Amino acid sequence: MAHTDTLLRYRPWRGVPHGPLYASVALARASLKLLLRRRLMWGLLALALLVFFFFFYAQYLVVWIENQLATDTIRFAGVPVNAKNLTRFLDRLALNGSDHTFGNFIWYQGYVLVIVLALAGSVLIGNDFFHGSLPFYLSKPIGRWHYLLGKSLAVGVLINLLTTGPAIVLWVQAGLLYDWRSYYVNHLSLLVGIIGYGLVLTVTLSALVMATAVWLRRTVPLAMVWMALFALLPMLANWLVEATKDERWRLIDLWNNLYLCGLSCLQTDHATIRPSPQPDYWMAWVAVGGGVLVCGMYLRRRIQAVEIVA
Amino acid sequence: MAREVPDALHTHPRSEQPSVVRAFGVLVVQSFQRHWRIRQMGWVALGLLALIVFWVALVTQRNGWNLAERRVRRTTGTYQQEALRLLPTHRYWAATGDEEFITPPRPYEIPNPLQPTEEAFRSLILSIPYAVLQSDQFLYSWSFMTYSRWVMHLVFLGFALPLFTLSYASGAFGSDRESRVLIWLMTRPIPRSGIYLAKFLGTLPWCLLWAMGGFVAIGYAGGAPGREALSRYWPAALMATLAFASLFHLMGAIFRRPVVVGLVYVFFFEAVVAALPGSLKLLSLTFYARSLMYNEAAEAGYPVELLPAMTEAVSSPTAWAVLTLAIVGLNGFGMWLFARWEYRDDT
Amino acid sequence: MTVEQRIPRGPAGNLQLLGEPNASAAQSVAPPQRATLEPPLLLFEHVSKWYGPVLALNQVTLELTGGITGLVGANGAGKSTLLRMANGQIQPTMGRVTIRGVEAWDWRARRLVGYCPDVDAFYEDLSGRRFVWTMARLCGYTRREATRRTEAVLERVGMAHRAERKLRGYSKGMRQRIKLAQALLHDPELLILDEPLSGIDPIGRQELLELFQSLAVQGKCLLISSHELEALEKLTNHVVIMARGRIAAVGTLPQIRDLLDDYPLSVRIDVPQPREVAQLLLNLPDVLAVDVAPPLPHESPETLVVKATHPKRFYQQFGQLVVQHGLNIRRFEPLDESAHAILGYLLGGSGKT
Repeated sequence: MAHTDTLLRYRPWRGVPHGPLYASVALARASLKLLLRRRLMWGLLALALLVFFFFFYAQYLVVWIENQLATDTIRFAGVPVNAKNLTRFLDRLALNGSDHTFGNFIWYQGYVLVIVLALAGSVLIGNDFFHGSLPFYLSKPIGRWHYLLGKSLAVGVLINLLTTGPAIVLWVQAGLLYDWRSYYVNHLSLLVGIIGYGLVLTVTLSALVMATAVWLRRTVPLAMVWMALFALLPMLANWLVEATKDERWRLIDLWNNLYLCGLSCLQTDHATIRPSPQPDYWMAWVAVGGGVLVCGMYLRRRIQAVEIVA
Repeated sequence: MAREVPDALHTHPRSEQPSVVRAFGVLVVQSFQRHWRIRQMGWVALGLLALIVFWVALVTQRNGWNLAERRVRRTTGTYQQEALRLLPTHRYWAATGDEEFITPPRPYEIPNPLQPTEEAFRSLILSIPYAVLQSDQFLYSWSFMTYSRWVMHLVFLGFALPLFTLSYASGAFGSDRESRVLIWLMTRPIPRSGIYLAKFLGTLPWCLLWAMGGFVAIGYAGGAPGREALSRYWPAALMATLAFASLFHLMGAIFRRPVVVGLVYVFFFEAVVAALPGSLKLLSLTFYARSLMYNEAAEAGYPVELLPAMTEAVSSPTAWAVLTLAIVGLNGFGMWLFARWEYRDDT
Repeated sequence: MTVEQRIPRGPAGNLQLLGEPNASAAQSVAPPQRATLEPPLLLFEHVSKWYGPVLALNQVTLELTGGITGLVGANGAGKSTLLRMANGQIQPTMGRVTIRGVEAWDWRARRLVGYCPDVDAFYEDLSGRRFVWTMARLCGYTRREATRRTEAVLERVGMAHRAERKLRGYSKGMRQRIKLAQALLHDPELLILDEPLSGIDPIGRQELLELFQSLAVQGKCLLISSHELEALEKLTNHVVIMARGRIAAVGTLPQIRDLLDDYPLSVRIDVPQPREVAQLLLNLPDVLAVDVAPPLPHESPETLVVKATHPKRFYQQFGQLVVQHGLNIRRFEPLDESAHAILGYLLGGSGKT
């Protein structure tokens, strides 16, 4: 009241608002900021960074040892060992800028990613339901799918921040460690494969995060379900494959299915995949596609049925 | 409204004085009931347990713990079939074409009657697997250790027990803080350390129910080796449950998202550290529980070498002492900390 | 600057406001007399509180002994921090908070305090009755006693017949009443109410104001934080005004107004000859301006609005003037002694000092 003169000078904005898709982007941005405000999130990102740095420096180390010490023999615990043999323990990770390098990197990042996504699901979606902030979003001129799209975008950014992005950096690094012209040209398909792998991860895990968070809302049950999917089922799948010698049991392991889809994007020879035996690529694609379909159908059902009671 | 109502709150001739001990007891019960009301968590836990029990029962029903019925790596036959195939009679039948085998014989399996001494020695050596598989005691020992390794060490101690205790113990404060209702307890005339302890005692039955109930269910689903594992490993499972419950209860009091911190602890620290050689594993709670199981199996004469990464197991008294100390220490520290901590979850 | 404020009380433990404007609400809440040797009910001694680098309370000294005290201030002024500290939810970084001599952080102090927080979170799956009963049990009462007290407090807050539904289905007003009910359960000497009137409809608000007054009459000390200044003014004119973690002023509204010498006092005077009286008033040294024209069309044409500095001196001089000239004063009303106006003066236009 005291400053009405100032208020009188107010001139309303006369622009045309963008469509609801812009709102989804804004929602994604706000969601990411919400997550990154948490110290716990930074701790998890630091863990993911550790895995990245391991691959980054190990890839460099392998090349350095190969170039510098290829002919040298050094004494290791009193025994003369060819220096090249020292890198053998890293062979399993295939730190040589090949398709398996990026596949393995994303596989190991999965351990952190699962926990990050459990946290993201509970903070970004569960809290909206649980603490009643959903009406705040849905009172804006956006549809419910736009809300989900915004949240999915945020989750997608997180997924790619932890997997695709660092994997591309490893690809760039590998090119610089070898002959960069021939590497970048000859291995361009790997870059496309990494992006494809990232896309599969983004679509599948975003849908899964949305569906489980809308279903469970609270952090504890959400974490329990995520751990069942990404820790228990792989254990059971391993044992079942070993006991029955039927590799199709691995299809119950979602992370392994995503790994297979990713490797098929990277055009990896199926016979070189470890652990073996593995189901065919098409089976993994069907399993992943089925999972996404189920999540989509569940979300559709829930979104149509949602009734906001403040 | 207010003035017509007789004031029943003033000291009434018959009114009873409040008791802090009674309030403590009520809080224990209330904490227990809170978990009962969060049914969703119970359903998820039940689903997970059902999945594990179903898997164990399936493997048991297929005789999967038995070495004889297990498939040999890189072949399609079972150990029983392989052992049978290596017997002299079957080798000769295979050589003469009287018997068709799933896998073709390897060069050293082909009988050579022209060199009788060498052939006799070879037959003796190749008959050992069959002889071993005839030993019920060996087969049972192998089943027990396989069951112990895969079910008790890996699935139960590595997944089910930490996850169930994490869900319930961290939820004692965690769910109250997430729902911002801790204020109602903090405004009651109960000592803060008492609130911490009462919450723990109210949650403990749920941890025990799921962890030990799961232990029993998994044991019964495992057939004979499972039942023996029940009788041998229950003290280790109980101590591990109490220790994990204490730890996660403390995490619930410290962190706003204790489940996420707990997951990092269980699936990074416990999974990695407990498997590393050296002294770092002494910081892992499951290492002591596994040591108790390992020692129990060793004392019973089972081939404990089948348990990976357990060659540096500590003695049972040490494991008991450390786990007991962890339970008492973690709860004592939690009570001390909670009595000094300010909670401002509503801000 | 250290602000030391002892809330002025009469022998009855209440403010001496008889004969002063806007005193009616406070008169009705006079509590019974207490033994003078008893430690003060609530005492803040040089209390400061930091949240990291933020200073939430700055050297606050305050003593409450009874009656109703309103706590007002802009958002972020430190009101909730002060209330939580009084209830033992947070500890002072420096200084001491005691309830009848017991540290507020000590659990025994909570037996003397009923706290109605501003947090709108409950065990949503419980019914209102069950929630209050559980809170009573957590106070340490037996089942029977808890039931008796639950019914009594639900009756008092007007929820006895509506308490069976689950809390998640309650309106905001009903939730406020339930919060109030749980604070009353153990018949505490000190009631700390953080925004107890927010979300309550006008009828319900009147009922609650009557309840607060009746509690004060029974000898309870009420410390009420509220942004509803009009409602607070009806309840008590004794306020603690907070700004930026400090106690900016404490006392009755007229007392605080008197201290605000920098701000001219506005007084409405209805007299039959407004122009003549205006001339007389303009001769007084403390009168800055006299407005003869009525500000609003429906007001009386005999109205004057006087702006004067130094309220106390002006009242004296005006009294002398009335006696000397035999003025026929029909109405004399200070216009800016309301809590709203005083708060505006104290906190400035932006609500910040």
